[in-house]
Amino acid sequence: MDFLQEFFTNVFGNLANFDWRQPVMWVIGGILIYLAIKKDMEPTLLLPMGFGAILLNLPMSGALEPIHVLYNAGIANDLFPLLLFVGIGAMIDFTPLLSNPKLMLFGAAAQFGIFFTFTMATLIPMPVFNASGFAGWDFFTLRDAASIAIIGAADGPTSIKVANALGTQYAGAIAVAAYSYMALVPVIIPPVVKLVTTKKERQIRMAYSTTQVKKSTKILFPIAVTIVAGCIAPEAASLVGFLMFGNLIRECGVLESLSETAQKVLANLITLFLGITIAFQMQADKFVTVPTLVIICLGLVAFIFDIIGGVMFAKLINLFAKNKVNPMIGAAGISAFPMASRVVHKMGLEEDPQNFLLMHAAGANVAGQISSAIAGGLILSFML
Amino acid sequence: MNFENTIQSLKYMLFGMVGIFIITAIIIACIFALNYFSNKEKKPEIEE
Repeated sequence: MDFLQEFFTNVFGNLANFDWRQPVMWVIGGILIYLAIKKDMEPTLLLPMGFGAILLNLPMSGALEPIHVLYNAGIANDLFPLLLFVGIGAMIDFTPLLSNPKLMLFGAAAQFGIFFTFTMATLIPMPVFNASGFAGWDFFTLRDAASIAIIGAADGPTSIKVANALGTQYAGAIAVAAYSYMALVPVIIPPVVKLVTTKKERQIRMAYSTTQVKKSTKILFPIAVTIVAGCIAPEAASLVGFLMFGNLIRECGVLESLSETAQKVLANLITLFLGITIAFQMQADKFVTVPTLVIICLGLVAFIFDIIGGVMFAKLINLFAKNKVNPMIGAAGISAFPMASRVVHKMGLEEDPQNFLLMHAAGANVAGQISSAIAGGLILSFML
Repeated sequence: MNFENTIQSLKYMLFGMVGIFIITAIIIACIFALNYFSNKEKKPEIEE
């Protein structure tokens, strides 16, 4: 008997360290992997995050140590999100925005969801439980509320950077919500847009701008945006600056190989580590909680009100403008580049097969990318 | 209820939205200026 007991203690002893919440995380990890592979939703991030959620929630997981090292090296100091921004900047073509600068306004308006959710997050009570059961109600702190609100930036690196800088304990849930909803943009945008627009509004055709964008404009634009955003919201300097640095590499015309490296190798390498490293924040004891559920719901609120903000702003402009704007363009201002613009273009074609909105939507979309980084910087400026 | 934080967040909502539109307006002005000066660059003269 002693031999058997010793055998079980030595071979299966680790099973005694099981926590009921760990299998819950395996299921969540499995769902993320399923969505990545089967539904093709942001697979580059959801798959590593899903696998990381399983890996780090094994009882006494030996992977915790190396992932913790990666976390400290790349996320705790914001390095990974910022380096990823260099890659994203190198991928973005600002030409549609530069040929029609007014589209920048839709990017700004579509950040409304961030600030709306900030207020909502301070209002929601959460039940607190202790060993003896229900212990009362609690609210998110102002910093936690701000971190949750930034899910509405519809931009993973911005969400991670702001959540970490504000030192919230919910960074894992925020990253999961941000990337999941970005992946769900094709599902979220159409019903929300249809809810706040009429068929006639969705059929509005927009003329293309014939303004030629010179190479010098494309080169000076990232420098100008960095100076403007950095001077007014210094905390935005890193986010906007790295994004624009990537874009300058792309547009300067003398760094082709660096541009290609930033777009492909750098972005892929960082994405590879970013997903699995975020999973460090997905340990069962921190993740399987009531606040996580609340954060997932608030993330959806942020996305919905971003879309409504952009669409309503377009409708407001239409009250005064001679050349009407298709309000769906406002929905593309939520960032989530380039998915949001493709969804809006597709919706336009569904309403009218001759209505090509892609260039306008792409302009609003890249404007949203800049505006979301600025909004993140503003939130940091307010809270730090 | 935690109204102190809510009032604070409402204040930040106002600051945030106004701030983002101000920065946006400056960026739009920059783009117009860049386009204007780029297109003003010396055009080839037509020789008779």
